[in-house]
Amino acid sequence: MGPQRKRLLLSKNLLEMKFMKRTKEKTEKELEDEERQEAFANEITSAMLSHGSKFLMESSYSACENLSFGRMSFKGANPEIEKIMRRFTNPPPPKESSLLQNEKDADVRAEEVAETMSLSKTISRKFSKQSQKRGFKRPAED
Amino acid sequence: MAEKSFSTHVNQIYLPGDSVALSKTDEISSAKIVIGPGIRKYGKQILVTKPGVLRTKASPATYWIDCHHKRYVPARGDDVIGVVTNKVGESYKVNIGSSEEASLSSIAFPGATKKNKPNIQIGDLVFAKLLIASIDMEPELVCVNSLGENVGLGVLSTSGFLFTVPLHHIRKLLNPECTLLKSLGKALSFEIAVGMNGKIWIKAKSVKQTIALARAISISEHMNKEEMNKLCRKFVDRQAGF
Repeated sequence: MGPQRKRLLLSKNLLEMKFMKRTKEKTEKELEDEERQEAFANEITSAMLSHGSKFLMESSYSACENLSFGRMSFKGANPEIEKIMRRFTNPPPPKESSLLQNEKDADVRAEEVAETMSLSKTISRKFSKQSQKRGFKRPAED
Repeated sequence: MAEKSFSTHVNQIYLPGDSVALSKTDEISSAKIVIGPGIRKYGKQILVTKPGVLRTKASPATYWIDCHHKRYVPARGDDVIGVVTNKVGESYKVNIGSSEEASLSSIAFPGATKKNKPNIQIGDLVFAKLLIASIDMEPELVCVNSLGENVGLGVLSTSGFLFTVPLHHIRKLLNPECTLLKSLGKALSFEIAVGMNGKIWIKAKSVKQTIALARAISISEHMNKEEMNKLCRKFVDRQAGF
């Protein structure tokens, strides 16, 4: 309630200004919603509150009986439909598992790639002290 | 009736006006309960509106009436076969066997845009999904999923054969436990579209095969599993003898 009050307190003249257009729309919508809720509050019966949410109406048999998709093709009569049928019967495995699978088969681990490819060493050197830098460089010069 | 059905939960026959009692676990649990076709809620009572056999399913708890139908009443989410009867501006009128003709927007096809419209003539068959099916409004069809992808819906080739069977037979054919279409598919190469509105479209390699398949499907209406298997074996033998 707090922030709403504040917004309502904005002066009308201010809301009329061009840069306040979006805020104006927002406040108007909020007001409208509030009015609507008040208008229908007495229409909601106690039965609706207690029972209404427990039941769902479903008019289609296909959802009730888990019916399969009606378009089918057999023995290569329509390859396009057979592809879609296969997708319906065994959907592709989720992406995450395939990524993990890739990781297992890879010659180089993802961590190794990150270590060699990243700029982390170069950038960390920039932030280290001069003396540390020298200490780091010396063995390289030798 | 009981043994002919593929459902695992088989209850008694209910008539319109009978009240349905929820199972004790459903009564207590706070989980949602789905009320399917043939059942309605009046106040606190749950009443039956169609004569048939009560079926139930767990997770989510679902109750519905399984009954014999010939007239199709559109239901949201059903895949149906329709005949294009007219073109009105940007959309087509499609006869799907319901009391009112459905509309199908010419943009609701995979890859279609305002400029690039699908080539559909009056009299063509379309296999489409019902997006809107309300008692007060015209049903609306689409041929794409919500992402605009091709999911096997669309215009059906003109060289196929369309025939009508009762609606309960369609549900039996599409039941995952029914093996009729699969075992016919092992014997012959064909493609099929089964609409929830009782229409079946079949296309095989030759006219002879198409007719034989259509006949096998329509006579299996009152068959149980064993009889269906027997029919399939007979059918395969006869195909081999051609």
